[in-house]
Formats: sequence, structure tokens, C-alpha cells
Amino acid sequence: MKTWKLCAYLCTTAAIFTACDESEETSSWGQGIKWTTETSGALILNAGNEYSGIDGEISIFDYATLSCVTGAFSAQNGRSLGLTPNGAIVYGSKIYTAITSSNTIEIINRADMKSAKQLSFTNHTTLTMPRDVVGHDGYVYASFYSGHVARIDTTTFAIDKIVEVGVHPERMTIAGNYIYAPNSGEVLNYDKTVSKINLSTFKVEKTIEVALNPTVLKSDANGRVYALCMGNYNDIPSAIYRIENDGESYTKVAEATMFDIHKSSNTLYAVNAPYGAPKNDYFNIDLNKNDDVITTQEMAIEVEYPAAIAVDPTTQNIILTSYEVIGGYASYSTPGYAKMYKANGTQIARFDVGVGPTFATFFTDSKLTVQ
Amino acid sequence: MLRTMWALAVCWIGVSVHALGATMLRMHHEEYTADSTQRSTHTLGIVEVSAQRSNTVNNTVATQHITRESIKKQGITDLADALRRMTGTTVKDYGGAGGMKTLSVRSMGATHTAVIYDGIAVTNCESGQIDLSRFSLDQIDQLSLTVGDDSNIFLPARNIASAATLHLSSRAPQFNEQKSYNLSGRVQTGSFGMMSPSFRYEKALSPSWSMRAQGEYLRADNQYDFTLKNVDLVTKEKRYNNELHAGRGELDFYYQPLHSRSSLSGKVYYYETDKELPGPVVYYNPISHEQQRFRNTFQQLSYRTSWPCHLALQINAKANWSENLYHDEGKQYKNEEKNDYYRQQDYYTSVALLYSPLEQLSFSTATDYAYTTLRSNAIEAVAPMRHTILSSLAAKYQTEWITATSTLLYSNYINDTRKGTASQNAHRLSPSVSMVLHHPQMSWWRIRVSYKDIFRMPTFADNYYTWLGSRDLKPEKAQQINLGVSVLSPTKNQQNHVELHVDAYTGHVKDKIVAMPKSLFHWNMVNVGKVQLYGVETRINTATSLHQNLQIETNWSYSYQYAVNMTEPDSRYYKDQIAYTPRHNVAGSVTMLTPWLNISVHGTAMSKRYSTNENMEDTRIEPHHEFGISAWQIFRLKNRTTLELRGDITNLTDEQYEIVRSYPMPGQAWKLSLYINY
Repeated sequence: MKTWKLCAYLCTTAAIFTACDESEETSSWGQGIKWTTETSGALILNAGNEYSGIDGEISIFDYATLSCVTGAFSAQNGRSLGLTPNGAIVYGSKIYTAITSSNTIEIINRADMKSAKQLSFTNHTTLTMPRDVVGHDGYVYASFYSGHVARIDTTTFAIDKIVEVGVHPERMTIAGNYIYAPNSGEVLNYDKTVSKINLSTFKVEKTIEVALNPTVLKSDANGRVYALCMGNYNDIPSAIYRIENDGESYTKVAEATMFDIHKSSNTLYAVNAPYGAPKNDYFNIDLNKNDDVITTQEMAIEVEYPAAIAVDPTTQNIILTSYEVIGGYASYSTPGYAKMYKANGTQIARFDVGVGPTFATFFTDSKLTVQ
Repeated sequence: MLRTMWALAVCWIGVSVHALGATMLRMHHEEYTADSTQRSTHTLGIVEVSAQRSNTVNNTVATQHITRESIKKQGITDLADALRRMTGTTVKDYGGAGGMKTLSVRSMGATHTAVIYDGIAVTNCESGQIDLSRFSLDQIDQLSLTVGDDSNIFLPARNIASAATLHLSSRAPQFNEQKSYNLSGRVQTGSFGMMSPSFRYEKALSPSWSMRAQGEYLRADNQYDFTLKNVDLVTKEKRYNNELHAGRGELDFYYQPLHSRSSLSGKVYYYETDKELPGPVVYYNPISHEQQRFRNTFQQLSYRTSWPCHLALQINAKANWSENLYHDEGKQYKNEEKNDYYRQQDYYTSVALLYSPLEQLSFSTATDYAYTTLRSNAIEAVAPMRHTILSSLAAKYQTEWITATSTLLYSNYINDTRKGTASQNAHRLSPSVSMVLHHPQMSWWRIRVSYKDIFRMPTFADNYYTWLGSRDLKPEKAQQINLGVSVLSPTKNQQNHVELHVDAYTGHVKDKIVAMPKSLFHWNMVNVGKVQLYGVETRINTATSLHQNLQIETNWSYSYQYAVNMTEPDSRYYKDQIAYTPRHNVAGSVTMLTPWLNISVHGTAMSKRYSTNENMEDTRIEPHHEFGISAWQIFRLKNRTTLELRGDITNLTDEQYEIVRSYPMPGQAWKLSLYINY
């Protein structure tokens, strides 16, 4: 047990360095000791299709071979991941997945893809329908559609703290000593707030107003928080906003439907694919430049029907996932694909994934070398 | 699966040959009795009789009938079971007594199937599909399924406005001189906490007036076990949150004066169901709190008259109100609950005229008007309404050799809203022709040919459903050509006969209305689907008297459906079989009738199918078969009272299967029924 705890501790420390590695790929810690951050691959989360009864699955893309395997979880565990996984992180030696319809958080060993623990919220008194997971400082935080954010102890896999936020919190981010949860509200009754939770007290310190229907939050190298507000899918377009003045105001950055931030270079990568647009826009924004005038840089990257964008925190590689397009329409019930690009837009790989590839993240590790 | 099909096929051939060999080849069946068709329900005028009486074999289109008698004999347990025994049918069944059941005929989709209850259409403007779980077999004297326009041309225009029509009909009460009333009752109990009493009371009020009152109540827990296979993990689960309560009350009256050419009938109907919805099976999450309450009431009137100048008239009218309430509870909702309502109102009237100048020739015309409204919190707040004007013109030519009909339907749909934009209007001409050839001396064969061009309007959900609906939808068109042959044993004998019906068809559905993603979160209804259909249907019925105390009857049906998605030639899923449509469907029953006990063994089997139009491993639904056994006996007591005791076991082999993906069907179940007729 002791060795196991130590192992878990080491893994989490390694992960902290991964998560906290904000400015550069390598950093030195003491004389002759060097920490290198490396990415070995990517994880694509396939949400499946609830209506057609297609379960979710994990796809793993290997940087070494540039090949992708889908279905490792069910192959290794002899059971399904569950219906509609919506968020995942690679944290230490584990993968945490929030599976909304199955009402579970699956904690998976990275080494063999076997389940270490399945947290079920079916009979939980407070929490239901996990939506997203983020990791920080030895803890994993999960947002729940019941309107809560909960803290999972990564050594015991138990929920030790719960805080109430707004309606339907979605994809969260961590900046400084705070975790931010966007409250998207209900269908046709969208919310427009972000709950700012102090990680030390685990209390909501502030409820910040943003634009309509915030669903994704990301933070930059300077600890500023960006919110993707989806609008009303009608006359209010989906756009990225930056929270200013400690939450007292917000400014529009760009119209977009999905985005990610590469912290080391402080670059925002986004896709704007609203319905009816003649073509989708793929662009990046240098967040170090003057805040008043936002200049977007078009990128020559493209998929047919974008489902997710993610940027590798170390290599700055970009993953774009896509639905398959059949007859001009995205097919939500058939397997999609993904493309990987270098930061300059050179395509590295194109690979098949599962049905509904709505999220991607990376296997990033800190490596210790003694010089 | 293949083994089962073979077994069924071998069994089928064996019994058929046996029946052929052993019989005296005499023909007569209750299907052929003149007053068995539903049309005769209200057919009392003199002119109409010659114009309307038709039966299965003389019909110009593929028609299948199941009477109350054959329901009993074939061991049919519910309406869905009756439909599964027919050819060309795909019953989408969400499982259990409370699970929704919709009928698609010849792969055209459930929205192309009209349901006519006692002569007038049952409508659902919201989804366009009728949930058949609300109908019980006890309220039906006969059900028939017609594809295309049959040889009866004296009909409301709405009754011919669909590609396929399911008629559910009750018979006008019949009395004799000694008895001016009929009283029957039934109690039923079975697995999964099922209990259902019902009654039917018919009374002759005067020589011209009669009435019928009937009521039924059904309750069931429906918490059946099922085996859940999760990759390699196999667990025993239970279908929780599946309780059902349903009640129905109906009052009919009939006015038929003696020596009069006119008749009037009417119905007041009320139905209510309160049920829990277990939802799809989701791994690791067996909890559902969803509930549905559906209430429907309607009043309908039917008046018929005729004049000596070869003219007949019928007027039908119906006022319909229904309400569907959905309730769900969960911490994911703002106030921990969610409530949706759908309220539909329908006012309908139809006038039809029949003119028969010659014995061989008749013409008819009908004009229908309907006004439909829907109020719901789940559709955009526009309060949609629709005016439907349908006019039909039909001709029929009938000799000893041929019966031929030709129909032209003009449909005009005018959409309106109380506020906001209405969806597109539509008007269209729909032709159909059909004929059957028969030889006056060689009455053992029939050849029928038919063609019908029809469409269905977008439903209010298609048009206005929040985020999903589109107002610029065009109607969804369907066309079909049918060629059929019937061969019958040439003599008339109820104990020994054999008949064979084979129909082959081809057709297509164009501008199929399907939901397509508009953005990640936003879907849209569009006219993109294209389906090509080919099919063959075969039915064989036999009756053999082996001994004066032993009669064997068999019914077999086989359907082949090639229904493929032709939407996108470049797609790798081009020409894949459309969702939920098996290529092969087999059903059969063998009934043994003896003076001591009657037994029916029956089964249905289906080949593999897919829950999506893309035929992938992930969405494959395995083939299945299901067998059942029924036994019954009628006891005649004093004072003309009869008592009937009946036992059914369904899914005898406890087969675990699904018809709709993630909605497991019940395993082995029993049912015990006691009927009293006085």
C-alpha cells in the first residue's frame, strides 16, 4: 500500500509539472537535474451516439508510429466505457473520463487501459451526470449537470468536496488558485455565468457574468480566462470572450465555435464553423500581443466537419477531429477521423477514430534526467 | 438464426404438402363471408351492398384480414403480435405492454401508415405516427391491412391519403328475436403484474336504435428481467420504472330504421394511459424517472343514405382532442423536474357520394376538410394550425372477369400559425389504379396489379420542433407498384382448404424527411432521403380435417424486404438496408382444434437489422425468433351462456432480443384469460 501511495504521489507530482508547465518545455530543478516535458501521443474521446445506441470509446494516437487504435478500453476490460463520455484528462498514471449518460467517472490505468475505479453517481444524493474533468495539484475536479463541481482525491479516488455552482456547468479551467466553471443553463433558458471557485476553501468566491451560453473555458499563460459562449444557435453567434478586471467585465475576442490555448507560446487556436457559413475559419491569435486590437492569423488547416480542436502543450501540434460527411451532411452515427498538424500548419497525420470524436487531449509526461 | 428459419421453412413445406395432400380441397373461410369486411360495419343501405362488398381475394390490392375468430385460432396475443403475423409489416416495438408500437408497411416508414378506427382516421399531427399500444384486441372485431387503394371506392378522402392503411373495426351489434342484448366480460392476468378486466354490453333499444357500451382497464408492473450483454460482461437486469395503467371507455349507437335506406352511427371515445417510461438501457445507469400521461377523447358520427336513382351518400364527422404530458425528474434539471406538454385538436368532416349508373360501373367523389392545431412547450411558440382539404374522384368497373378502380386524390394543405412564420403549404395530385382479374368458371386464381403515388405531409414536429423543425420542408413522396397472385383450393369447405397469396412490389420513397445535424448541437429536418424498395410477400393458409374430432389449421407468412438507402451514391453506406428493416421475416402458426381442447403453436422470426441507415457492426441488431403456445376451450353453460378459458405462453424459449436498439423485449411470459358471453 505504501509503495502504491508513493507511486501515486510520484505520478501526481509528475503530472503537476505537466499541468503547471506554463512557459517552456524544459525547466531545471537543482544542479544537474533536468525535467523535460514530452508528449507521447493523443487521446481522442468518442462520445458515440445516444440515439442510435452507440457507446463511447477512447482512441489512442501514438506519436511514434503515427497510428491510432480505437476500442482499447472495451478490449481490455471486457465491458463498455459507457454512453456519452464528454470529458477526459490524462493525469499522472491515470485517465479520468466523465461519462454523462452512464452517470459514471471511469478512472483508467494508462499502462494497460484497465479500469482502476468506476465512480457511479446513479445513487449519489447530490451529484448526477458528470460533464468534464480537469486536474490540478493532486486532485481531479469534475463538473456535474446537477450544478456542482466536485473534487476527487487521486490517491483514494473518493469525492471529498462538493460545491454548488450554476445550471449545467460544462468545460472548466484552472487559473491561479481558482477553478472556473461555465454555467450554460438549460435549453431555451441559457445561463450566462461563470462560477469562480477558490481551490483552498472550495467555495464559490464570485459569479462572473459573461455572454450567453458559456460552454468551454480556457486559461492563458498570464492566468486570464477565456470563455466560449455558444449563443442561442440562432441570431446570437458563438464567440470567445475574455474575462477582464477580475470578472467585472468581458470582451469579445473572436467569433468561434471551438478553441484551445497553447500556454507556452500563449497562442489561441480556434475554429469558427457556424451553420450556413460558406466555409469554416481556422485561425490563431497571439495572446501576448496588444489586447486592444485582436489580430487573427488564418491557418491553412481543415477538416470536413470539425468536432473538436486541441493543441499539444509541448509540441504545439494541433489535432482537429471531424465527423464523416455523407452527402453534404455530417454523419453523427458513423466513425469520424482526425488530422494532426504542426504549429505551422503542415499536416503530420490523418487517422480514423470512433463515432462522435468531440474531445481530444494529450499524453504528456515530465521526464527526469541527471546530467 | 438460419437454423430457425430453415426449421420454420421445412415445417411450413411439410405442413403445406400434408394439407394439400390430405384435403378434399374445398374452399371456404370466414374471410370470404360477405359481411366480414369492415366496410359492412356501416353498410346497410341497399345500393351500397353491391358497391361495397369485397373480400381479400377479390381485392385489387394486397389486403390482409384478421378476424376475431382468427385472432383466437392463431393464438394472437396482442395487436403488435397480429401485425407481426402479417406480411410486409415492421412493428417498431419498444417492449412490454406499455412500450410504444408503431407500424411501418413495406419499409415506407410509420408516417405512411394510416390507422382507421371504425371508419375514420386516427391522427397525430405532432409525430405523424400512431402508437398502436393503445388499441387492445378486445375492442376489434376485425383488422385489415391494405397497401394502396382497394376495390371499395366509397370512402372518405382521408382514408385513401396514405400509402398503407390499417383498419381496426368493430361490428354493428347483432341481436336475434329471443334476445335483445349481449353482454360479455373478460378478466385477464399474467406475468409482470398484468391484470385487465373488460366488458362489452350491447342492447337493442328499439327496432331502429341500438347501442354498445364497452370499457377496459389494464395495469401492469412490466418489471421484466432481461439479460444485458456489455461486451463480455453478462448481467441479469430488470426493466425498472415501467408501470402502466390504461383505461378506455366507448359508447356507440346505431340507428337503422327498418325498410329505410338511411343509417346513422356514432361513437364517443375516451382513453387514458399513465405510464412510466424506462427509457433505453444505458450501461451503468438503470435509473429512469420519466413518465407519460396520454389522454384522448373523440366523438364521431357517420351517416349513410341512398336513393333509388343509383346514388348513395355518406357523411362523416369527428372531433378529436388529445393531450400528451411528459414528466421527468432529475438533479440535472433546474427545479429537479422537467414537464412537456403537447395538446392536439382535430375537427374533421367528410362528404362522399357514390353513383352507380350501371351494374358494372360506379363513380364516387369525396371531399374532406380537417382543421388541426397543436399547442406545446416543446415546439417553437408559434401555435401551429393546419387546414387540410382533400378531394377524391374515383371510378370502378366490375365484371365477372375484372374489377378495376382508378382514383385521383387532390390534396391541399394550408399551414398557419397564431404568431410567427408558418411552414410551407402543399398541394398535390395523387393518382392510383388497381385491378384484379378473375375467371368466372375457374375461381381458383386471381391476378392483381396496382399502382399508387402518394405522399405524406411534414408533421408539426418536422416543421416546428425547437431547433429541429424546418418550415420549408416539402412533402415526402412514396410510389409503389404491386403484382399479386392468389391461388385457392377450388371448392368450398370450411374444414379443408388451402390458399396461397403471393405479392411482389417495387417502389421508392423520395424527399424523405430526416433529421440532419446543422451544427454540433443543432439538428435540422431536411428532405434528403431516398429509399428504393423491392419486396416479395407470401402467405399460405391451410385447413385440414384429419378426423371428425381433429381439425388442423396453419397460417404461414414470409416477407422479403430489400429497402435500401439511395441518398448518397458516393457514401460507403450507399445501398445499405434502411434502419430497423429486416431482409427476412417469417411467421407461422399451427392450430389444432378438438372438441376437448384447442391448441395453437406459433412463432415469428426476423433476420438481422441495424439501428442506423449505415449498416455497421456497432449498430447491428441480432436476428431473433420467438415462439408461443396458446390453449383454449369454450364451455357452454345453461341460458346460452358461454365460458371461455384461455392460456397463453409467449416467448416460450425465453429468447432475449431487441426490436428497437437498447429496448429489450420481455422473456417468457404467461397470460390467463377468462371470457364470459351472455
